[in-house]
Amino acid sequence: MKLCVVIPSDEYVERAGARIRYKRIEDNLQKVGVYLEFAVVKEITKINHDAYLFSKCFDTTALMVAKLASESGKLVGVDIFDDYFSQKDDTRFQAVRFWLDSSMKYLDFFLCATPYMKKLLENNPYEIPVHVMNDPCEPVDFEVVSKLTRKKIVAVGRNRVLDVVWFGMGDNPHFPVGLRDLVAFSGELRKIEDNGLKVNLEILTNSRALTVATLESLAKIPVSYRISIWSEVGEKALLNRSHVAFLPVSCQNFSIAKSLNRAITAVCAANQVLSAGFPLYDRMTPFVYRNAEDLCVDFSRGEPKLNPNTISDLGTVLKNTGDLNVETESLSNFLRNLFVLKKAENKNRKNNRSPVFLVQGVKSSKVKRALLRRAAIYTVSSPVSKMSPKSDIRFTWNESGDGLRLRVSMRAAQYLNPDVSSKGKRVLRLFKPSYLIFETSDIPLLKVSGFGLRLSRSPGALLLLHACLMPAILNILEYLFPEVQCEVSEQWQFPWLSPIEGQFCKRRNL
Amino acid sequence: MRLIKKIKMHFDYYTIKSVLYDKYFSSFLKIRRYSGYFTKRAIRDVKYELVEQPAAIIIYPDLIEEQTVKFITLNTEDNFGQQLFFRNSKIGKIKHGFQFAETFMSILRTVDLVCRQNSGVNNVQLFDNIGNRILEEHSLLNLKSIESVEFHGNKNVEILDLWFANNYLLRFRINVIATPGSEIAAFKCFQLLGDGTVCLFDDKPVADGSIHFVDVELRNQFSPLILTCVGLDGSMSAMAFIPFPSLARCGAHYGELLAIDMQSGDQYPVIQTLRSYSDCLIKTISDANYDSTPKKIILDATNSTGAERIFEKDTLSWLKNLGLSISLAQTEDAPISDRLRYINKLIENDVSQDKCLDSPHVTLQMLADSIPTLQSVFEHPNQSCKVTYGSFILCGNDDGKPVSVVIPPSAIANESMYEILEQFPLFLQEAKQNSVSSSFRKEKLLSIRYLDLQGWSDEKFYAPVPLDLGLSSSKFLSLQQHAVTIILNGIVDFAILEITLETLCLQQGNNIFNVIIITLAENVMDLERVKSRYNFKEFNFIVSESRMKIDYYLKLAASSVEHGLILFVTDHCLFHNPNSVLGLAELAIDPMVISVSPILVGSFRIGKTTKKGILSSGSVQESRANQPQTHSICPFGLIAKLPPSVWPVAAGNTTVFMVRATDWNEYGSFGFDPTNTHRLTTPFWSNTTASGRIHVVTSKLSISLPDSNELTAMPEVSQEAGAFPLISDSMKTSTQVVMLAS
Repeated sequence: MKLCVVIPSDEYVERAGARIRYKRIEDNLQKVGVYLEFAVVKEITKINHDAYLFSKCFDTTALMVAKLASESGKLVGVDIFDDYFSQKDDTRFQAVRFWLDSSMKYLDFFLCATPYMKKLLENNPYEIPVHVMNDPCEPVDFEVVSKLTRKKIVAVGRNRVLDVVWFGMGDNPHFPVGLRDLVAFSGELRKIEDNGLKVNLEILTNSRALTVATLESLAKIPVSYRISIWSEVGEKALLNRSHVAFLPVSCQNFSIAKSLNRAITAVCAANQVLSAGFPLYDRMTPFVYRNAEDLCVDFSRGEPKLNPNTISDLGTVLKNTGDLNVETESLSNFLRNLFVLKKAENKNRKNNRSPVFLVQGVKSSKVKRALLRRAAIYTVSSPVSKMSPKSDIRFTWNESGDGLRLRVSMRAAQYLNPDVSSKGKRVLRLFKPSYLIFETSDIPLLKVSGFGLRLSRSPGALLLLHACLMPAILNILEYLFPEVQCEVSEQWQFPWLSPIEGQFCKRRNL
Repeated sequence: MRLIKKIKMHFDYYTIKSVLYDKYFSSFLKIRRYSGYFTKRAIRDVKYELVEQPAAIIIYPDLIEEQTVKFITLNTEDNFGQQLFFRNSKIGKIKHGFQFAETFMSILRTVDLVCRQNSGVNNVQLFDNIGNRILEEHSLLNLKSIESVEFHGNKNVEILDLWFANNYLLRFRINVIATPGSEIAAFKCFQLLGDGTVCLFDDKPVADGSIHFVDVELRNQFSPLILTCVGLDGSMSAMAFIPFPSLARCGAHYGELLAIDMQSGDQYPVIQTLRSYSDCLIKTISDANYDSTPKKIILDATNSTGAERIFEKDTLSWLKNLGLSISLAQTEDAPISDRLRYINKLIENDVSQDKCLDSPHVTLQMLADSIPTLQSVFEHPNQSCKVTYGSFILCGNDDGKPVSVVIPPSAIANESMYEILEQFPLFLQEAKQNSVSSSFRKEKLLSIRYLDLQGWSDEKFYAPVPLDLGLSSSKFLSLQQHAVTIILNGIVDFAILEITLETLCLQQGNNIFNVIIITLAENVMDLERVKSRYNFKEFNFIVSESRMKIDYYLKLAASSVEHGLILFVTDHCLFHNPNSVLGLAELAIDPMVISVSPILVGSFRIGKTTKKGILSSGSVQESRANQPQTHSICPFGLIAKLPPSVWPVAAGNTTVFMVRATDWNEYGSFGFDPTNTHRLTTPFWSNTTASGRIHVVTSKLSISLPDSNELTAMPEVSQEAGAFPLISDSMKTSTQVVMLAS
């Protein structure tokens, strides 16, 4: 089976998400006959893999590729490992929520990293199956971990100094996480010192996170600390020499959906894990401390949770939380089962493309024309969007200002409701394609308000126009082209969606 | 009775240096002295012969920097070895405050004597003698008259300042005047924790020079501590009591101290305010009737991340020690999420849950981004009222710096104000079920809120809360019963006027609106032409001969409206949220509300960059700390740093506001500002201050202005600054903001 991981850019391959979730399993998958390849979403024009897995691609092109792949009888799935979806009241994530809603009809499966995320995704109206693939950890040499653990325990016993590490992304543009959590829960580190061990905290994070405000807040940490800029090599070296990884987590949805990756990475580098805040790492309980006192007592006894005697248990815990072989096998089995079902389904499938009208928004991502043609996509422009003369369907204001005028290309006109197609007037143009034109007198639905806003490109005017015009346009298209699916292409950051989202949900009985 | 007990503790790394015969704690122990060292890392059994219980043992772990003095009572086989000292001693429940201070220092005197014997207690007789002397003479200090945050016993030592260098490190700046015969060798610090443990910190040796910095790494930033001076001979020569260290600079309650300083109106050094306020709190505790102080805190954790200060273990342990229970406000019908389940567990684990709060009690209700002020937990609220609203102190979440005090209006007297005052903390008096009155005490600071103060993102200005077309049908029907008349000041070019009209036309419920436009003759043709496009209930226009007569025609238009609501709108405004008009109407129909305004947002230029922000937010009474004479009515600048909400204000924004027709015709009119003949003003805000009702601005709804490059001129937004000759009038109905200089 050829599995294509669809990614947003070339650079994405090197980021933690792709590195941990796909690159680590690449070789193992190959051993069981699943060949993994990466493809940047913008560059896809042909469908020649057996399965497509979308990773952090939430734009129109991705949606269209999903459509094309689905109609070609391929397996299509989305890997969701960050929770940008459960914050229903947060207008900042309307675009991704809407993308997910729109994409569901093309999907065969969801992949996610935690049971919590699975619970969220399982609640989908299409009953799309969800598979949890824990972040796989790199192969562990238990002998090495055991030796390193012993060395660290002896060092702590001798020096009474605990090297504690906090590592990872220090910030997030949308949520107060990372270093914010470190500061909020840093009282736990102080407790280590209260219990007789000196703490040296080393913070390894991205430079973007180190703003003036963050540095000021870090000053509140009650133990001595040092900050270094994150690098993969640096992380490995630091984890190898530190004794404890401090992993505080707040209880906001984004945080509690996170994987166990950091705890596993830390334990596999012979670190004890001190978890504060939300008990995210409960699945690794035998190797996770929930309070500093227990950690200190165990170190004083020379028997912290991770010690040479318990290393054998680590293998058992990893099997349930991120063992490379287990995760690979489980994923390949899941895909194979789906693939078998898909093949059976494909036998009865007619290999034709159903047309889609892509309604352009204020800020739409550009889709390659080759893909548009191949996926039978027809573009729709309106006063909300940039007016493109190449659009198949064009809504413009009429001169009287009482509504819209509609132009339909002859290519798109084939899908018109037969009852109304005769109402359109055909306009023939010299050396240019002809089209059908509809006025408010032909179709009363074209009577809409908003003409007075035509000259304004202010966010306020666009926002209102969007809220009122887009649902109206979708209604008109539904009436004129009852057999054609509509999609909205909108990347605008402003909170434009809820009216359309509501309408879409209603239409799809969601 | 002769008991032989074994102490089985993890004494590896620790050394037992002394076992104390403590005279103070009742007749109790007859214990054979033990003094020795454990040097091997192993669990040791130590045999003690106890004649009578309980006994107390002091253990000095000497291999760590901070020494901990652990008091252990040996009561029964079951709780053997537990740290139960205070709880089971005859002193009973220790309450934070004066009683505690008295007890604490009595104990510490004894401890100090132990400390002097570096190698442990060798002479029980010595302790007996000294202990007796202390108890009988009560001599060293007169505990009843102790004042805090200053040294007693040695006039040559003075605390000049104290502040938190991090969450736990309290740094003292101390002035020592060297006098022959009373040299100070070291500072010694003790802290009492909630579980009864007394911490003894490292000696801080005194170097040469007169100014000394003494760093004390506290165990808990809220627990009281004592700083002592130790002479060359090891004797204690002076003692300072710091009952509320969190009031120190950069501490969790520092904002409260600044706010108190602001209320006093005088300018004192911070250390002096700290001293006097601490004494004042101790006196309050001594005088307070324990039954009338709050017993419970209800937190609104709707947007909580669980990382707020209230959930820090120190805070929870402090509240627990005060006997306060915490619970979360009930969320209606919502299934309990993993998030709330976690927070509930956090509270259950760390806070004393009073099982029986059947008796009448006081509850403090606040948002989860807050911690209670010291005065809110020690003082008793107004006895006669069911609800007592209070102020909050606003601090930055990152740097912890206090920014301002936000005070609710004083004339609130209705339970329907819950929604309008949702951002303010309050006391709920459970016993007063039949009472419906609310009250307000200006001086009452109930909570300290820690918020991110970076302000809103661009998108949030346009949709502070999610745009929602789905106004419930029942609400929609109820609003339909209130006729809405929109009076549009349209003395501009038609192109601009058309945009405003169009946005009104796209409002939900537009077919129930009556629209009256005051415009110039040159726009009439265009208005006639477009009239058919708008499906308002009624659409009329009045022609004004000139711009200078607009006030007259606005009055004329308003007087034609006999009932229902009037929405005054200045041209240029974009009602970008389709729910704006009905959203304003929903607030305006509250009988306590006299006017409602949204916030006005748009782009503006700073240098070469264009930014989005709030252009008009209504006005509140604002003053600056330590400048009591500068009270004025200012734009509510803080509004974009606070969560979207409804705020009582002194004056709404005059660009867009909604009133009842009857109120406007009684109190309202327009005129031209004498200092700017293009600017309309209205005395409506000041005329209505005596009505006891409130003007509100809602930051949940925004109205925008077009980008400035589309504007021919900015709209004439009148300001009401200076319209309130009596500031006290506006205090009754407006939120007040005091900017703190931290």
